[in-house]
Amino acid sequence: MDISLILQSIINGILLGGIYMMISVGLNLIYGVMRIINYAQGEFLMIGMYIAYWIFTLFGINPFLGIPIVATVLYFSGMFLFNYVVYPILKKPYETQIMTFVALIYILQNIALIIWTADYRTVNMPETSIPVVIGNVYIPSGRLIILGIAIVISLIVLFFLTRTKTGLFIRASSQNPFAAELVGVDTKKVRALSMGIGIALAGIGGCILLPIYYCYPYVGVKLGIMGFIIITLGGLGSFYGAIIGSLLIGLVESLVGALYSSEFAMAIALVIYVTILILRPQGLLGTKSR
Amino acid sequence: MQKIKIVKMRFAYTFFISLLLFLVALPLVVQQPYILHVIIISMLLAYLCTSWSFVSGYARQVSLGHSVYVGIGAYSTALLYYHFGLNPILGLLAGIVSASAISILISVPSFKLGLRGPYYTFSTLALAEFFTYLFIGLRDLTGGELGLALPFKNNPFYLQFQGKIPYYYIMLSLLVTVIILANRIQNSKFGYYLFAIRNDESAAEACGINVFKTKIMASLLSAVLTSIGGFFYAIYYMYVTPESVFGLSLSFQIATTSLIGGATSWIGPTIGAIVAVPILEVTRATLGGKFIGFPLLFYGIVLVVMGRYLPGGIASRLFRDKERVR
Repeated sequence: MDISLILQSIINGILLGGIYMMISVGLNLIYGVMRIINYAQGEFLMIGMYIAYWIFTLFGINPFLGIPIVATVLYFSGMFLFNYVVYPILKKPYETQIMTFVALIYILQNIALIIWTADYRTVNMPETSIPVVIGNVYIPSGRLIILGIAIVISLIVLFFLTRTKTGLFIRASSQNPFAAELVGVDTKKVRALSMGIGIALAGIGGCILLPIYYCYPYVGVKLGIMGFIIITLGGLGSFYGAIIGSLLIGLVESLVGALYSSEFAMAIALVIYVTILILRPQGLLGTKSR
Repeated sequence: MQKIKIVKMRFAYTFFISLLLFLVALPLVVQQPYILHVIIISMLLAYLCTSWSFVSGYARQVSLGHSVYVGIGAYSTALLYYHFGLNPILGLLAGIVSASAISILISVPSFKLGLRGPYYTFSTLALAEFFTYLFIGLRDLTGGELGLALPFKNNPFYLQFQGKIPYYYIMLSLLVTVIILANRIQNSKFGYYLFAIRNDESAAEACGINVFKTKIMASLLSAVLTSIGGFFYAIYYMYVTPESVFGLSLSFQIATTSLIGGATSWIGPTIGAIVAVPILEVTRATLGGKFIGFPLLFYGIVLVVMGRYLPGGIASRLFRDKERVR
């Protein structure tokens, strides 16, 4: 087996991990503060991809530069969604929440199908495929940029969560919403904010995925499921868990895909998932829930 | 209290018996294949939803990957028939055995955790996706994405009939069986255990219910019944693809339809299918190919509204109103 092929797929795996990071950090943020799973996270990534596609084709803005626009749009749609759809069902039983989020999947996919049709769309950015050569390994420069953006965004989220007052509120509400409310945290606002940020992160994932992948209405389904596997792996609600899980799953998927067959990458990921569930039920970095 | 319950039940029974009589008599009057087809698929959906509700409704272990068992049932039947020419009944047995094995394989680790909610849902979602990719990947055996078209021999011994009416009655008898089973379960000790788990797992455990075992039993029962639905899918369509039987859209359809109808009621999932299939079919037929995507968009909006204003499903409201009148 060629050593450069393995190196190449390790780098691709880290890259894939960067995209999974955007999905799973967002999922965990939302889960952390309101104990609900956004089953439509992959679909928000898809919407982000289409908006980035639009601003690229209509205004010629590079998807990387379009990140602030997409993030803003999705942030406000997340807030809107929280106020009118998610907030009323927060206290409802688990199956009602699932029903609402599955409904969101239907709505988002079919809006995309109506507006953009089922065609596979892709942006043509020749400048991103200029390779950077390190030894025997060729890395398209676009992928390096993507990886850099994923790292920077994760650092910003980390900084926001640990060093700002709002971040403190978010962490407080995710540890104990009732106590946070007692000491004066407006949990409703914090939840709306987290929903907005979580969804905006998925949108950013869509922006950085656009230059290297096709865009079609069902692109989010598999990515969303990977996101669920990752947050369970890393521990529900844990920021570092999401990052480690993303890198792990990204590497496994890319290595299995390169060495054997990409269709079995999912199978291996599931085997890892079940093994971890048996050995360490609360996830790699999760805390045991009561 | 006792009287209220009896009246409530009587209304549901009246509904069930009139529905049954209507469905038994319908083919004598209506013989258009399209209408019969729509009713057969509604009954199949109602059957799958009722099977789903045993684990996901009564015990609130929500599964979003129930298509796995449909797929296992359908593919066991299809593969054995296609490659070895075996009778579909043998395929049905193989499907039941493999569905039970898979159900135990996935529910033991997820229930063993004692953690609630999302873990089981994630496991089932991942499992459904895993099987879709697996059956696409095993091209030599399953024909990949294109699936298997089963040869038609027109032999009743192989459960192949001309016309839709025999299939109609097979499906109807399956549906009636599962509805009666659901009703029996709700009035049994097992059913009370499930509802206790639904309300509060810790409290159920404290009352001496073996929560783990009960959840495994429910999931097993649900898997076996669902795989029988898959068997019917294979003999009815005679064409299976990984996407159509394992795909997430089927799982989502099963889950949402039961929840519309009311997943805690024995007749609820059937009501859900009665409501949901016409919404989708009628909008599809009237809007047609020009407005692709609108039926499901509309369905999604209905679901959001239902989740907000009628979280218990139609059945809960229908029967509770009756209660209030008395």
